[in-house]
Amino acid sequence: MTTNRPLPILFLGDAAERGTGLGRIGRDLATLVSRMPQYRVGYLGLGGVGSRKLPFPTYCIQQVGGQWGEGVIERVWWDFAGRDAGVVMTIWDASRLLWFARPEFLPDTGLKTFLSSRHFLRWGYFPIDSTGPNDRLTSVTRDTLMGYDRIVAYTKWSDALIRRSIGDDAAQARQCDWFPHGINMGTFTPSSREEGRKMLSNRIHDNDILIGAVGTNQARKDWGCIFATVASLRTKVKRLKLWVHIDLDERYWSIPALASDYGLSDILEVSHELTDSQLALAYSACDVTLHPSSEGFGYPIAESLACGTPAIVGDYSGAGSAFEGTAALFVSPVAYRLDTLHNALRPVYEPGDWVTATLKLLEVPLERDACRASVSHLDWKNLWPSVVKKWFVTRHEELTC
Amino acid sequence: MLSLIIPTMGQPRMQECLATWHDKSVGLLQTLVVDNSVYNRGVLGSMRYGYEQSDTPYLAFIHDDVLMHEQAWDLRVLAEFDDPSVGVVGFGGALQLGHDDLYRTPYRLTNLARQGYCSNTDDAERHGTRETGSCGVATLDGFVLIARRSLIDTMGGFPVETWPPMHHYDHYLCLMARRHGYRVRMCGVRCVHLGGMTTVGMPEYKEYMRTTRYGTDVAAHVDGHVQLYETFRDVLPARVTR
Repeated sequence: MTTNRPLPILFLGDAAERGTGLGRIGRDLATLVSRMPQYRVGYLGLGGVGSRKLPFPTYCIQQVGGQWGEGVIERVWWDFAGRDAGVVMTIWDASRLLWFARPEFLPDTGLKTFLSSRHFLRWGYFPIDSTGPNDRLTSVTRDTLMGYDRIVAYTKWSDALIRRSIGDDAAQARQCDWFPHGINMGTFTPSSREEGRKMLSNRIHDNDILIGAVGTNQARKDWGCIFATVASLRTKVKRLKLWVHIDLDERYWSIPALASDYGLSDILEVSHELTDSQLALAYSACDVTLHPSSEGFGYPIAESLACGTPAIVGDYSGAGSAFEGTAALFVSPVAYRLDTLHNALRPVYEPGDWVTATLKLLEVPLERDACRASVSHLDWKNLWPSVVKKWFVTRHEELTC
Repeated sequence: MLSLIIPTMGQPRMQECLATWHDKSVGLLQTLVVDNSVYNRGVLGSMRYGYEQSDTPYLAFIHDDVLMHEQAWDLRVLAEFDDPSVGVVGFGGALQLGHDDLYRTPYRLTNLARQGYCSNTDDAERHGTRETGSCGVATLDGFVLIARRSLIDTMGGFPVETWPPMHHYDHYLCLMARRHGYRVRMCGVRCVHLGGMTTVGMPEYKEYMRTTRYGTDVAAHVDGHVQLYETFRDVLPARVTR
C-alpha cells in the first residue's frame, strides 16, 4: 500500500461520546490521530448518536440484536474510505470480533465477501482483563487475534499474555506491542479536599476518613470485596465514609443491597454522572481509593493517583502491570476462579488484606505530589509524543515506504 | 579538515596522548588545547569554545587521556563523513540508549542506561564487545566525539547554560544528531583510553562542581538524567539494529 493521501483509519469500538472506558480511549486515540496529517480518521461506535464536538465523522451501531457492527460495516467503509485502502482499528475485547477478524468462519454472505476482500488492514488495541486456563488466552480470543495485521495491548502483562497465547512467530509477524492509556492530568489534578467533600455531600465532614471506589456495575468490578472491606474497616476506623461512583445502582450488583447487608447505608454516598472535573474533585476528597477489579488498564487508578490520592490495587491482570512502579499499593489475590462464557480467570481476594493495606496507608499517608508524579508518564502530554504517536508514525511508514 | 579539541586540566600524560594523534594521522589537523586548569569551562563549555574557535568542517572533541594506535585514523574517520547523513562519529558506542519501556512506565534513572556497547579500545571486552569495523549506533561514549560542523550549527551550538557541564554531553550530541535526521557511527579505531586522569574525587573538581547549579557531581548526574529524559522524548529510546 503506497499513497500520498492521508490513510483512512476507521476506529471501531464503543461510541466515542459514551462515558465507558472503551469509549473514552477510543475518543482520545481518534482525536489525537486525527491531528496527524498522515491519517484521515472516522469512527464507528456502538451505542452513541454522534457528536459535533468530535473532530472526525462518526457512524453509529445501534444497540440491537447484540451486533458489533456486522450489519453496517460495509456501508460505513464505502462511505468513509471510498476506493482508498485503509485501516480499521478496533478497540474492543477480542471476544466480540471473531466475525471481523476471521470472516472465513462466516456463512456465505455479502459480509463474508466484503471482509475477505482486504479493503483494509486490521489493527487492534486490545483490552485484556484476565487470562484463561493454563495462563493463556482462551481459544476464541486466540483465533481472533490471528486475524489481525497489527496487535497492540494495553499493558506489558497483556502483551506477554498475547505472545504466550499465539506464539512468538505470530506475535512478531503482527508487530505485537503495547502502550498504556493516557489521561488528561490538566483535568485530573489535586484539588482542595474540603471543596471536593462539599461537592460530594454535606454529610462528609473534614475530619472523616473517606474511602472512594469508582467503577461500572459489572461482575469483575468486585463491589462485594469493596463493601466487605469497608464494613471491616468501620470496626477499626472512626468517622469512616464511603463514596461510590457507579453507572447503575443495580445490574450485576445491587449497591443498595450491599450497603444494607453490610450495614453501610448510613455512611454511603453514591454518585452517577460526574464530569471529569467533578470526578477530580471527588478523588481529591478521598483519603484512599480501592480497586479490586480485573482491569485491562484501570482509568480510576490513574485518575486517583493523578489527583494525589493513594490507590490500593488488586495485583492481577492489566492494572497490576500498568501501575507497577507507581505509588499504588498492591494486594495479591488468594485464589482464582474461572468465570463467564470466555473462561476468564478472576482473582479472589481476602477483604482482610485490603483492610490491612488501607490501615497501612492511613497510618502513613503518601504525599500527594508523590502520587501524582508516579503517573506523570501517563499524562497525554507526555505519553502521546513519546510513545503512542511514534507507534502510529511507524505503522504509517511501514505502509508507505 | 579536522580540528582536535582537547579540554584538559593539565594531566601529566596529555602531551604524550596528543602527540600520538598527530603521529598517526595522515592529513593536517588543527589542534586546540582548551586549558581548564585555571578557569574550568567544563566539558560542554570547552566543546563550545572549540566549536567557536576552530573553522574546520569536522570537529573531534577528545579526552586528554586517549592514546592513538591506528595509523591513518583520520582517513578512516573522514571516510565515514563521506556519507552526508552521518553527523557524529566516535570510537565507542552503544546500540541502544534507553529501555524500550522508558516512557511507558514511571521514570527510573536506570532505564536510561545504554546497551550493546562496542569499541576497539585495548580493554574493549571489559566494557562490551570488540568491534574493529564500523557500525551505526544509538549513542557514543564521550571520550571521542567527532561531529560535522553543520550539525552543530543546526543544533544551535552547545547548551552550556542549561545542560550539566560534565555529564551526558555525548548523549546530547548524538540525540541531537538523530533529531535532525543524522546518523551516528562507531568506528573501531585502535586506541587506548587511559581513564581516571581527571576523576570526580579530585578536590579541584569537587570545588568546581560546588560553583555550578548542581552543587555536586551526583546531583549533576541525577538531574542530568532527568533532563535527558525530558528533552529527548521525540528520539528516545534510541536503538540501532546491526
